[in-house]
Amino acid sequence: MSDCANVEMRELLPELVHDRLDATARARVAAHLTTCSDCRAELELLQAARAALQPIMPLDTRAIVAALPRPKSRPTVRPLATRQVWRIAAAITVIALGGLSVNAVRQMGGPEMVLVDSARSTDTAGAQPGAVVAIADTPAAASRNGGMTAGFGVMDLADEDLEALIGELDKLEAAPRVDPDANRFGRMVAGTTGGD
Amino acid sequence: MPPHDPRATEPLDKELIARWQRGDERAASLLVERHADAVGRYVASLGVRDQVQDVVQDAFVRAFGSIEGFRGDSSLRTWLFTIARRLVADTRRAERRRRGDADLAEGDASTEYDALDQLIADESRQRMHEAIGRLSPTQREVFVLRVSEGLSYKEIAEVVGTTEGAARVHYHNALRQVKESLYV
Repeated sequence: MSDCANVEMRELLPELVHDRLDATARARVAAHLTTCSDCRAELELLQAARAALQPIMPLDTRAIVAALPRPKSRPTVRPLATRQVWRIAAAITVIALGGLSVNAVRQMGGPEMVLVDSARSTDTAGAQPGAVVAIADTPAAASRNGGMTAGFGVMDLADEDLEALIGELDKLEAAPRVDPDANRFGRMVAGTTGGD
Repeated sequence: MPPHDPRATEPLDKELIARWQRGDERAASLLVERHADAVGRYVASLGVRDQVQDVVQDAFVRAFGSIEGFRGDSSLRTWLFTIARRLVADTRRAERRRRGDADLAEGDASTEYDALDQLIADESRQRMHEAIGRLSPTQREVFVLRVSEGLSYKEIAEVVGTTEGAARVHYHNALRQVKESLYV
């Protein structure tokens, strides 16, 4: 068995074995094979070699699949989404409780509670004598001070405020602050004014 | 000349990888079923006998564990071959150190490969196996990648760590030697 002098045809034989030739090339090789016994013999050898190299024992592909690691992107997405839901739920609960407390105080017929902007907290002249003045950060004041608000409905909060509140809740979960004065979103000072 | 790929209608490896990354475990099964046998054949051609399953499994585990590093410049199969080759080399090196042997290069691989012949009943198949077993490890590796797996010289060069020209020379030398073993 000798080698065919047509090197180009010989190079195409393994491609033919793997059915990777387009129609034109396949036709050219087929035409060559009808006239070249060396290439026919070589093609048979290649096919026999390929058959001989098939695996003797089949591999356990299920075991391979079972051993594969989990995709890295998955575990990071779901818990984050879950945590986000809990954060929002916690924020809404805090806001709702604040609103209910204010309502309860009002319904008890106690002194009228007036919410004033903390930025103008020194100006309590508008309050009735004997009224409880709650100095709280309104959304507007909060945005000026970089702080948060309490005692307002969720609809009063801008997106940025809600995001900031969620961020603050996260921090609280991770490391509760010891100093209550440093708790910016819970900043509320209540007292009875002299009404002067 | 554009190659004709009969699997052109099947999802591409890249698509399956993306699906697996989104959590589709079926995509991983398809990839394993598509490539495991080829990697197994290649690993066996390197002279591995009893641990083919383990090496193939490790190759897949490593590939999927660092799939972000797969740039898609080469095919996934070529990448798996490269990883499997490295695993076999590491195992042999560790064995050499453990046994305190000197260089275990060509001899042991041939011996392990010859052991496969005992499992082959068919006579013509056995003769072919013997002929391939007489090749040098590099010739055998290149021959298997070209004939059994249909890799291009460029892909073979990537797996084996050589040049396209050298891969072509190894292939033709291997083919000539197999012919001589069978017909002379």
